[in-house]
Amino acid sequence: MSFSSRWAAISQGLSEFYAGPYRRTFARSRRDEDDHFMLVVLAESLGVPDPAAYYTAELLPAVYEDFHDWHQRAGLERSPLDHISCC
Amino acid sequence: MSGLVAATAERHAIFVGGKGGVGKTSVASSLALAHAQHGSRVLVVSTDPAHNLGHLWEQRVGDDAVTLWSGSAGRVDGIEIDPSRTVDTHLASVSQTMTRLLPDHLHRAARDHLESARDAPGTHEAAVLERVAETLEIGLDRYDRVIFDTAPSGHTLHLLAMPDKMTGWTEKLLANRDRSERFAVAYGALGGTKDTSDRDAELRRLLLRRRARFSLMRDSLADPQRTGFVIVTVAEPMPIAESREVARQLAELGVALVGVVANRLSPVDLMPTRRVREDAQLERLDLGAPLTRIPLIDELVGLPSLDRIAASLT
Amino acid sequence: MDSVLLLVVGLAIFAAGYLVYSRYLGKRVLKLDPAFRTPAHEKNDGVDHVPTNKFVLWGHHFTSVAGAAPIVGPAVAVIWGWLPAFLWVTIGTVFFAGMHDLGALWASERNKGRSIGALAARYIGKRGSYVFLLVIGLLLLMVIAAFAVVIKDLLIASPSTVIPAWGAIPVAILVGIAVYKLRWNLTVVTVIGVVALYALIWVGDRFPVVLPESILGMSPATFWIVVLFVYAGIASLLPVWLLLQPRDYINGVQLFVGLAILFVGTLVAGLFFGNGFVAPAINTAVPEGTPSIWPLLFVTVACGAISGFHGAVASGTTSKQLDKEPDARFVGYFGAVGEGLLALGAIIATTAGISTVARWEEIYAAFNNGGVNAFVEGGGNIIEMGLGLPQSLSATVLATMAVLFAATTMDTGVRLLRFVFQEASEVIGFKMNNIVGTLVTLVLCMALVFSQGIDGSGGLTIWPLFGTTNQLLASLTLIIVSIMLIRKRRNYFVALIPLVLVFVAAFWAAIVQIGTFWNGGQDTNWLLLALDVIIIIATIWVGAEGITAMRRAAAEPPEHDDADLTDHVTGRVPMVK
Repeated sequence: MSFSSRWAAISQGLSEFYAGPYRRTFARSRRDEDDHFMLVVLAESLGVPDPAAYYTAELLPAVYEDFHDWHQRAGLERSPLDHISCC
Repeated sequence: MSGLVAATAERHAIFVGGKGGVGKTSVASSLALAHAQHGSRVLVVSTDPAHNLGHLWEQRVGDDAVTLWSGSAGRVDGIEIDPSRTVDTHLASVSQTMTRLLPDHLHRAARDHLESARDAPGTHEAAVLERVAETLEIGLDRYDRVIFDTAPSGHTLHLLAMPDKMTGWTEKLLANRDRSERFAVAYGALGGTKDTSDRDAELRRLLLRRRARFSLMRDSLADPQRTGFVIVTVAEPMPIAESREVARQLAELGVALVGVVANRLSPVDLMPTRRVREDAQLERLDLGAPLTRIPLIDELVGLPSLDRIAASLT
Repeated sequence: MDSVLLLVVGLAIFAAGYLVYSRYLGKRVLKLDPAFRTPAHEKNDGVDHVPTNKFVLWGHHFTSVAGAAPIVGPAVAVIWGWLPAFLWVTIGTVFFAGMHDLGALWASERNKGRSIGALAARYIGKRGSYVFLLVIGLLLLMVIAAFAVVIKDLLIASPSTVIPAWGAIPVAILVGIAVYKLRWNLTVVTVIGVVALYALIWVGDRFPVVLPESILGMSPATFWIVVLFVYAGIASLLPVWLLLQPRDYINGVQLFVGLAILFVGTLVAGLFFGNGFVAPAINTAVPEGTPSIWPLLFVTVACGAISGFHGAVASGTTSKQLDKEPDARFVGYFGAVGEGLLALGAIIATTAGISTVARWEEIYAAFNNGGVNAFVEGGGNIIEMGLGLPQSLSATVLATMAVLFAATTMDTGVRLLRFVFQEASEVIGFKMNNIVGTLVTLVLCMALVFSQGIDGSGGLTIWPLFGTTNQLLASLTLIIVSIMLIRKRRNYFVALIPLVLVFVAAFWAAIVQIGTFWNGGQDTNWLLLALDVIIIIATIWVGAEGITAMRRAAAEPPEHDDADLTDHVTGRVPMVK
C-alpha cells in the first residue's frame, strides 16, 4: 500500500474511532423520535383508539418501509398486525 | 335590507345552529332564500346527519350541489353532505399511494389495514370537517355566501373547535419531525451514510399541508368579517338555557354571534297565555346579538312557507 | 531490578499470550469462523448494529472498559510487593482476562448480540437474569461510590486538577452544542476541544484550587463528594449527545496521550537513567492489619487481571459491532491485554516511581492506602525523569486523566444504575420515572460513601468488595461460556479452570470481609456488611445454579454444529425452564 493511501486509511480509522460512538448516539436519538412517530401513526390499527386516525392514515405510506424494523425493535418477533405480513 | 338579512350581509360563511328540532333547517333555508331574492348566489350545506333539506324544499338533494331556487340575479343551491363518501375517497387515495409503494402480495393487506381507520372514533367528524372546508372553498369561489344547516349544538361546537385542536396536533408531530431531522443532520455531519431525506421531505410536506388547511379553517372561523353564527331557539326554558351555553362557547372559540332567532312563537290570538310566557322568556334573553321573532307556521314545507319566513328575516 | 526489565518481561508475556494462547482459543476452542454472519451484518441498522473495523472497535471497547480500576487496584495491591501484583496481572491477563473477554464477546455475538443477562436467562434460567441484574446493580453501586472517593482524593491531593477536571464539563457541553445546533465542522471542533482541555491542564497547574477548612458547613472532602453526586445526577439526566457523549469523545484523546507519555517516560527513564524499585519484590514487612495475599490480592486487582465488567461491555455494545468473527481475538483478547498494560504501568509507577523507600513506606502505611495518589506521584516522577516535563505538570496530566476516567465511569454508572432500578421496579410491578430513579441511585450511592465516615475517609474500604462482586460477575460469564463449550463438546477447561479459581477466590474473600466489616459490634459497618451478605448469598446461588446448569448441559445431547446459524434463521431461542 502506498504511503498516501495508508495515511488516508489511518486518518479514516481515527475519525471513525472518535466519531463512531457519538454518531451512534445521534442515530439512536433519531430512531427514538421516529419510533414514537410510528406509534402515533399506527395507534388505531394496534387497538389504541385514535381520534385522529383519519389524518394519520395519510401518513402511513411514508412510514411503511420502516415498519418491519420497528416491530422487531418493539420486541414483537412477528408483525403485530394480522393482515400485514412483512416477515 | 334589514333584520337578519342585513346582519348577515357582510359574512360569507354563516352557521345556523341550535338544539335539535328548533327549526334550523327552515331558518337556514329561508335566510338563503332571502339573500337570493336580494340578488346573491347562495349555497346551503346541511351537515346534520338527519338531513331535512331535501324534504323542506321538496326536492332530491345529495352530496353534489342541486339548484333549489333560481331568480333573476340570485339563486339557492343545496348540498346534503355524505361523510362516508368523503371517507371512502380519502382512504381510497391513501390506498392508491400505498399500493404504488408496496409489492403485490401486500396490496390486500394494506387495504385491510386502512379499514381500521374507517371505524375509528373521530373519523366521521374528520370527514364532516373536511367537507365543510371543501364546500367553503368552492362556496367562496362560485357563490357569494355559504349557509350551513348544522347538526345539534354539541356536535357543531365540537366541529368548530376541531381546526384549532388539530393545528396543535399537527404542530406536535412537526416538532417531532424537526428533532428527528436535526439528529439526522448531526448524524450525517459525523459521517453517517443512511439517507432518509426523501421520506422526511414527504412526511413534512404532508404535515405542513394538513396544518395549512387547519390553520386556514381556524382563522376564517374566528374572523368576524367572514364567519358568523346564528343561534335558533324556541321560547322555552331548556332551549334558551342551551342557547346561552352555546353563545358562551362560541365566544371562547372566537366565533362571532350575529343573530338569534326565536322560532315557532305561539300565535297571539290562539294561545295568548303561552305567548305572554314566551315573550317574558325572550325579554330576559340577551346574547349580544339582534333577536328575530318568527311565528309558528303550520305545515312548514315547500317554497311558499319558506317565502313567508324569509319575509320575517328581511 | 530495573523497572524497564519488568516492563519488557511483562510485554513479552502479553505478546506470547496473544500470539499463542489466543490463537489456540480462537482456532480450536471457539472455532471463530470468518464466514459466520455476525449480528452487525444480520441487523445492520445503522444505529447499534454496525460492522466496524477491528482496530476502531478495539479502540471503542478499550476506552469503554478502561477506567480508573486498573490503576487503583494495582496501586493498592503493591503493598504486598511488586512481584505478586506483577504475576497476577500478567498471568491473569493471559489465561483469565483474555479468555474471559474473548469468551464473553464470542458468547454474545453467537447469540444475536444478546447481553450477559439475556444469556444467563437462556443458559441458566430466568432467575439467572435476575441474579445478573442484582450483581450488576451492586457492582455499579460500588464502583460509583468507590470512584467518588477516588476523585475526591485526587482533587484534594492534587489541587492543580480541580480546574481541568471541572472545566472539562463546559468544554464537553460546548462541543455537544457545536455539533448538534451549530453544525460546525467536526475536525475543527475536535481540535478546539482538545486544545482547550490541555490549556485547562496548564492553567490548573498554575492555579491549584485548595478549598477552605469549612465550606457551606462541610469539610472539603464532604463538599467534593456532594458536588460530584449532584453533577453525576444532572449529567445522567441530560440527553446523552449533549454532555456524556462529547465528554467521552474529547476524553479519548487525552487518554491515549496520557498513556503514551507514561509509557514512553517509563522506557526512557529506565533505559537512560536506570529506574530501580523502591518497593520490595515481596513485602515481608506488611503493615499491621493488612490481610493476607490469598484471597485478597485476587479481588483487589480485578480489572487488569480479570473483570466481569468487561464482559458486560463486550456483550452490551461491542458484540453488536463485530465485523468478522475472527476479529474477536483482537478486540476481546487484545482489549484485555490493553487493560493489563495499564495495570502494569500502574505497578511500575507506584513501585519504581516513588522517590525513596522511606517515602514508599510512608504512603503504604496501611492497607487500602496508596491508591491513585501514589500512581500520580510516582508517575509524575517517572515522566519528569524520562521526558523532562516538570513533575507537577506531569502529575497534573496523570491526575486529570485519572479524574476524567473515574468521572466518566461515575456518570455513565449513575445512568446505568438508574436503568437497573427501573428494570427491577418493572419486574416487581411499578413504574419508576427518571427523576425518581436518579434520586434513588444518588441516595444509595451517597449512603454507601458516607457510611465510611462523613468525609468518605473510610476511603477505599469498599474496594475489595467491589473486586469480589466483579469476580462474581466474571464467574457468571465464565459459567455461560463453559456451558456453551460443553454443549458444543469443545475443550471447556479453558473456561472452567479460571472459573473455579476466580469463584473460590471471590467467595473466600467475601467471607473474609465479613470479619473486616463486623469489628465486634460497635464499629460495624452495617451497610457494607449487608452488601457482603447479599453477595455471599448471590455467590452461593450462582455456584449452585452454575453447577446444575453445566451438568445438565453435559447430560443433554450435544448441539448441532450449525445450531447458531439455525437459531438465526428461525429466530427461536430455546429457553431453559
